[in-house]
Amino acid sequence: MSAPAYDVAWRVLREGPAPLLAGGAGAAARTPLHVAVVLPSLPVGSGGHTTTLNVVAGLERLGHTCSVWVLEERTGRLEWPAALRRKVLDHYAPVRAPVFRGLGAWYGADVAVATSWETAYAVAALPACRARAYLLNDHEPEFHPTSVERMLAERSYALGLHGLAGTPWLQERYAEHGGESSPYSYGIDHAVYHPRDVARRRDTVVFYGRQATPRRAVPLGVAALAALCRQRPRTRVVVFGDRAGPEAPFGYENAGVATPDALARLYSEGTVGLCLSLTNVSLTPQEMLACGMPCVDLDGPSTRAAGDGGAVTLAPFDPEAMAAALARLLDDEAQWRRRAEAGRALVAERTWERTATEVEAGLRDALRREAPVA
Amino acid sequence: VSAGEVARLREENARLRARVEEVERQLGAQAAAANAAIAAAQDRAYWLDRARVDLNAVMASRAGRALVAAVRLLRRR
Repeated sequence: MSAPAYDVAWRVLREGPAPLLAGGAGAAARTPLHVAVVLPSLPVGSGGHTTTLNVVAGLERLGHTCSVWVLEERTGRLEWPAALRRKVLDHYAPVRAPVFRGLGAWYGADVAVATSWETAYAVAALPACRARAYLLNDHEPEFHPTSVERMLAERSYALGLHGLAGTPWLQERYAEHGGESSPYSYGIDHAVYHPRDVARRRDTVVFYGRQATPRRAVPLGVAALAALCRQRPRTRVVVFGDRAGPEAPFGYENAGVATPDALARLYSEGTVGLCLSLTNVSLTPQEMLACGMPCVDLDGPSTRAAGDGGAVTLAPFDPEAMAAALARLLDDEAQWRRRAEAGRALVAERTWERTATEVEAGLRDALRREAPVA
Repeated sequence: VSAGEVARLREENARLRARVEEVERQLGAQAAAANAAIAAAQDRAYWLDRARVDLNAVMASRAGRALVAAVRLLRRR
């Protein structure tokens, strides 16, 4: 976070959010709403950005108008606006919204939406909004060790922004800080993620091994796969998510940072997926399920609360037990078939259209609850 | 307050509410049109922004002015 961004955070904590415009409740039922979405950055291949920008495209399909604002980084390497917009179109979703670099050209909105703790402070400081909302895609305080960033991430939940919680577990975390929120659920691009016309193998584990993201529990996954490969030396392992794969005592194929299309083919070919999360559930398990590949995730409060247990196999924080769960899905074809069918049934109704409708309801809730201040 | 006055105030209230709704709709339509216009301009400016070229700054330079003069000459011929 840049020095000016810290200054904004201190100011918001000291003085509170900027006053809201009057008329939020009156605008709550109106279409179009102008929804301004503020992103902390614009990398390629981010699950949070996939969700956010599919929400933007979905809101536009519902008749709303959106604008997208990307906070400037310390490095000054952020692309210029037209290049940012093309990046959104090429890598995320077919939005109609203009994309801005920084907030210097801010021209107000019915609802300003934060998408990360850094942007929560920026959004809280924005004038000319009727309401503010906070799209919660993960429990961000857990991204940081004990630090100023962790404290600021925690306190961003108490700024009074109306939460839009992607899972029940996130809704609970937000409520612990006094935050009110509306629920929504994650979507899937079924045009991309469906069983492709490739032969399903019976020996392949597809592992999300993005070691640059500690919450993905890569050392645990590697230990589980090592135990599995000791028991079943002919198991084929394919790792994806990072340019360089993790160090491992077994041979594997590295698919790197794959495109959604390549991932869909991989999920259609693989036998079982291994995608772990130590915080909130990610989009990846449900995309694996949509391609007919059962998946193993870590048994934890967020995965349990997601209620996908019938389709996703939840394994304890233990490499041997996780290896056993993978082995059962590799060896027991009847169980594999049951899980594959349950997975496809679970995700069939999960679309970005549904996500957008749920987020739209949450934005209207945010407008209704905001008492006019100025 | 007389019944006539109450009726007049109610009527004025309804008229003002309708006006607010109309202005709100106009504002929404203006925001949508402005966003669409900016997005279209961004689509046209893609290669310049990708190369981080500020064409106005380039054309205000000596080389830019010379280029403009040369183009004018060519057009006259």
